[in-house]
Amino acid sequence: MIEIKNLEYFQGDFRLLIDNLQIQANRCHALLGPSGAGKSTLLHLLLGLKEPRKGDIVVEGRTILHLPPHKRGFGYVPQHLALFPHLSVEENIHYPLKAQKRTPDRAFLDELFALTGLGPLLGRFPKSLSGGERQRVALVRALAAKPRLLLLDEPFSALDPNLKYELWELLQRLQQELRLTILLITHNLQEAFTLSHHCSVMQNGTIVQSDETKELFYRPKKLNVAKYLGFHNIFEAVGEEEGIYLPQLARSFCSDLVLPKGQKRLVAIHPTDIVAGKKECNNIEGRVEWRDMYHYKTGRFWPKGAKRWIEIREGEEWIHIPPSAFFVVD
Amino acid sequence: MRRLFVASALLVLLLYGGLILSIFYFFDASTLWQSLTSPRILFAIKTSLLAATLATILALLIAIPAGYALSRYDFWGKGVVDSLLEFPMIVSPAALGAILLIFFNNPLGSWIQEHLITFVFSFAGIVLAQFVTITGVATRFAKAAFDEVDEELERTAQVLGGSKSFVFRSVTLPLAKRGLIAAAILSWAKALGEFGATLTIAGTMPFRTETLPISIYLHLEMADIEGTVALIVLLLAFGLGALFVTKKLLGRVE
Repeated sequence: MIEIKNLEYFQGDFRLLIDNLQIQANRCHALLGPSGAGKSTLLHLLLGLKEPRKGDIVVEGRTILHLPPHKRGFGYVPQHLALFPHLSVEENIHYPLKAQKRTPDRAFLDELFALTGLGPLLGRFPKSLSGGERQRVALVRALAAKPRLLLLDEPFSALDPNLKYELWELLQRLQQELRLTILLITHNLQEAFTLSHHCSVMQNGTIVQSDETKELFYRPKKLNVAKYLGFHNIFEAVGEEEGIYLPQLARSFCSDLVLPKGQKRLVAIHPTDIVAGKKECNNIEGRVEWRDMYHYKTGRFWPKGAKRWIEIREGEEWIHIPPSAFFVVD
Repeated sequence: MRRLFVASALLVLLLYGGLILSIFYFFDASTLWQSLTSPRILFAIKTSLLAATLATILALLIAIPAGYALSRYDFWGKGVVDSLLEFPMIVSPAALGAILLIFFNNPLGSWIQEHLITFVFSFAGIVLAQFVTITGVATRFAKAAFDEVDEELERTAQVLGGSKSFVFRSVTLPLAKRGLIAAAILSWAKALGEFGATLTIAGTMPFRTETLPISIYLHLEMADIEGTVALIVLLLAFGLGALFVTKKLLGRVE
């Protein structure tokens, strides 16, 4: 396990402060956040390329803060891959082993080549490879010395969608078969959702929420996180005797979420929780004003008499919001 | 617009090409042969080649680490060092030689002369004059070569387990190779043609401190035009040969 504790770093007006961040062994942890949130700074602190003002980074119970980058035992795939142009694919892959004066584990390398299909490319040079091949070489090179943590810094950001999905699948397979511990830095929500088990959202130099990926995407706890994840269904809610009242939708709802009577909070609903048709309560009549058929059938549903729309994935004239769908965002 | 720019480029060719061609008006093959077989000229050629090679090796020993430091690190005095690289080009060669001569007359210089090595009117003086002339420009070339190497490659190599010295040897140097070879050959060509500083500090003693450019000067002083032209042709052959080799190497080295 990798643990980041009370890490503090300043650069000009920018301040990074991480109270506690844990990366569990054998899992993929995504670090999400907009540009300028501090993801790259945190990465450089982990890699030892920047020094924190205070705090600690502990790997398997031992601090690594005093270690230079080459002794931290990490694998790394930077955004632009940084394949060494003067070395062949094979020499690139052997680089970490040569640098660490380690004997290559032939069986492990053969397993990597079999998983990535790199075998026939070993004699080629990076400039003669396609985008996908270059990605594979960078991944295998980062794994060749069996690192305790694989750090991926937006490595798929420049790829076209088909190639990206193919490489996501490859990374998932590598993670599962080799039981890799991965920290994936990305601003691509789909990538983080698809690849990670655990996800942290970083904003303004700090971690605003860290959770199991599905929990974070379906039940964000913070308003900023919900907005960053693209939530549109955020409403003011007022506690009632039974259930809650949403003034913007001009309706009362029965809800598993209990708010004291008269208390105002912000509540959110994930669009995939909303279903078509009518059930025993929380049925809303309205019309679909717009639907994006390409993007998960996302649509805007205008309830009768409401002041704003609800984002939905299914439903035409009637939609139903289950009582369990409401949750608070602060 | 295009015509004006191309005309300017051709003007450069006319200027240098014309000047080179003009010397052939006085060119005499038998004089060239005489020069090539004259022990004094052969000594001057040997002195020139040896001194230029030594000066280049010494200059590169400083220029490569200095160029890397200027390219990669921020340190106290960096701006001054960077500005001083052009110092030998700004100061006239004769002034540079005079500065060296004055230095060897101050207490520290005199002590060096007496206890370590004699520079004034010696072969060491030629090497020193050439070394001082080319170190700045060699450092500038080396810095440019290192600037071309993507720092992300070095960072990645480090994270993948390479110590700083291993990364320098395995990534930085091979990727800067083209620029460094160019720095070496151009510095060598510049050292070979060095005249002013060499004349001032090492003098013009035959079979001792006479280099090819000094031979040219001495032949011209004696109004031996054919002899001067023969030596210019030799110097041109070495200089242009070095430039040709540079271009070939740069074209081949990946």
